[in-house]
Amino acid sequence: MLGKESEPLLSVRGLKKHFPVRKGLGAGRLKGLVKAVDGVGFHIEKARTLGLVGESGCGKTTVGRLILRLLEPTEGYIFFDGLDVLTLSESGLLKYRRQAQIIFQDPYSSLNPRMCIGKAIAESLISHGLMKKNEARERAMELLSFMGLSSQHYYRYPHEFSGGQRQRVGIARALALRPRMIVADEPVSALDVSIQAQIINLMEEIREQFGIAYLFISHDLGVVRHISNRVAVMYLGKIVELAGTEALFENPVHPYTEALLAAVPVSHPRLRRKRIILSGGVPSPLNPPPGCAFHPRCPRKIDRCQEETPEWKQVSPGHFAACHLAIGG
Amino acid sequence: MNAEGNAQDIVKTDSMAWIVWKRFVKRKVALLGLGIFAAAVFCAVFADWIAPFGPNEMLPGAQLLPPSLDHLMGTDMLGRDLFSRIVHGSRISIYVGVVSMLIATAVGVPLGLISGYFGRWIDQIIMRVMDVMLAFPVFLLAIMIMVVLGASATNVCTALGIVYIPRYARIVRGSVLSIRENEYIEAVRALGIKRWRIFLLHILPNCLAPVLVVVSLSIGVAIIAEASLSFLGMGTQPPTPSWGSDLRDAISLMELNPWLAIFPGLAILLTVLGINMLGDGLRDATDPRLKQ
Repeated sequence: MLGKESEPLLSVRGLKKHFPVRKGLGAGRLKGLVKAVDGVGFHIEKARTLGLVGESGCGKTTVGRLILRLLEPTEGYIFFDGLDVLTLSESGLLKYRRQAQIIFQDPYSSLNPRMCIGKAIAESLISHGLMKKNEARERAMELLSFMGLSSQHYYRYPHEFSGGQRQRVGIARALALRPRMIVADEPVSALDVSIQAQIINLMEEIREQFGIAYLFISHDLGVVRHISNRVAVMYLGKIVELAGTEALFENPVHPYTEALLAAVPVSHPRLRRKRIILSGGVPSPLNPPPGCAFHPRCPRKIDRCQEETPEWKQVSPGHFAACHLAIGG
Repeated sequence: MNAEGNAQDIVKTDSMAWIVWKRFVKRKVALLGLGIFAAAVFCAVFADWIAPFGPNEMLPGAQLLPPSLDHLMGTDMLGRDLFSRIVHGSRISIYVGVVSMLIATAVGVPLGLISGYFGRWIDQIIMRVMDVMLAFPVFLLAIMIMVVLGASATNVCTALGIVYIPRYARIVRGSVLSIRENEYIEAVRALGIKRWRIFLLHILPNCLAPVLVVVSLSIGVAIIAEASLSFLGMGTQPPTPSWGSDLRDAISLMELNPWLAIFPGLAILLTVLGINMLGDGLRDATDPRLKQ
């Protein structure tokens, strides 16, 4: 079917976020730019999950903040359901916020310690003028039950709950406005492994029941494989590979993706993957290497890699990579 | 997923204020401090009923009597009952201690909030003015202001209030700045909560606890400052009774009539000690990092 149904919910192109580094305090001389996000493009379809993986510091968290406009991009385009997110008026931005929400990594710091959890969930409904206090409270209690917490916990405070429970509160809070898209920024990284599974399954159920799209940011490849339809791999502010989940995990194209996958532990205690150990460390985003940012550590680099930045090529249908060695499909 | 009860089954559990109170009463020291402070306030309010004599009532033939059953703390050079003077003196001390800090919070807290919340040039201007005021030691600045205003208990309130404004502004600003960086503030921004709501419901409640602690500790400082100023003759003027001026009158007579100095000194000591214990207790009770 052509038309609106086939258009992606979220579409991002050429997204950049450069942080200026100044000499001295305040408005000193410009010393350099931290290119946290340096030209990122992807799309997310309705009710689908895009996993965004990469090492710490690769810019994935920043991408999440940018698409919600919690940070303003330096450059780029963000389209949500046909709307240009970056040119929204204040009231338009408020409407956008109702549709695009976020779940944070740290369940301990993402809730106001001095507000009871019920009010924290109901607050957005009241602030947007969608419901009066009593109605909003009813709704919050429903959400609490839905999350597996008791609605009687409405008046309790965050410190009375465990990490997993707080994360459920965070999810309930994000769901209150019935968003169409949720940016999940490492939602289970701070939780015990057993609780992780619960939360991930809960998120899956929510996605199916409410038709919510996720941008699932994580460094945990196992979890990402489980929950994502498609996966994007980031390195030093750029996406180096993007493909359907199974395609990426079975046939990685980019050497960095290969190395990442090789590092995932195998569940059998006596088996180990053949590791690809990368030499060196991640370069500073202040001073990225010329050409392909990965070339100093790449086991398969050729001369071209340090001179020319690789193009974003389609390697096979729906599978893209930025590598000189990738053969276009 | 289980569906749980109705709205009627909801039991409202402890509010934050109650939790703080419960933690507070666990510490005996804090309770003692509260008791002392309450006793001082009680004296101040009901001085007329507690004191057996008037503070300036000169009893004929009763000069310089040592402590006895008739005069619990003895009498001074003019035949005035010291106990009555001490009790009435608490009025001034409490009045100055509390009112000066009220003035300082009324001006300092909003300044700190504005500075911390809006930042940029407003912050710079306010903080530079505060810095100038902070450059002067508390007592020196108070004296300077008193010289301009003239000596009286009310002027002491004003002077101390002014001196403490930058201290509160600083604390509140620091609080606001650190709270702004918290993830839950980012969370409510993402939810599209309006700015005034964020300020009122998220930033303000979280920065008030440190202010409460500093206020309670500062009242003690203000009481000592008032006593010191009165001691120097620059504060409360006779005939109004003040512990500081009582001390001053006692200096020349101290050798033979030590009680004239001991009791006012003790009054100051105990009151300020009590307030400090109260303040410490509040600080411990409101510290979110301490396990319950």
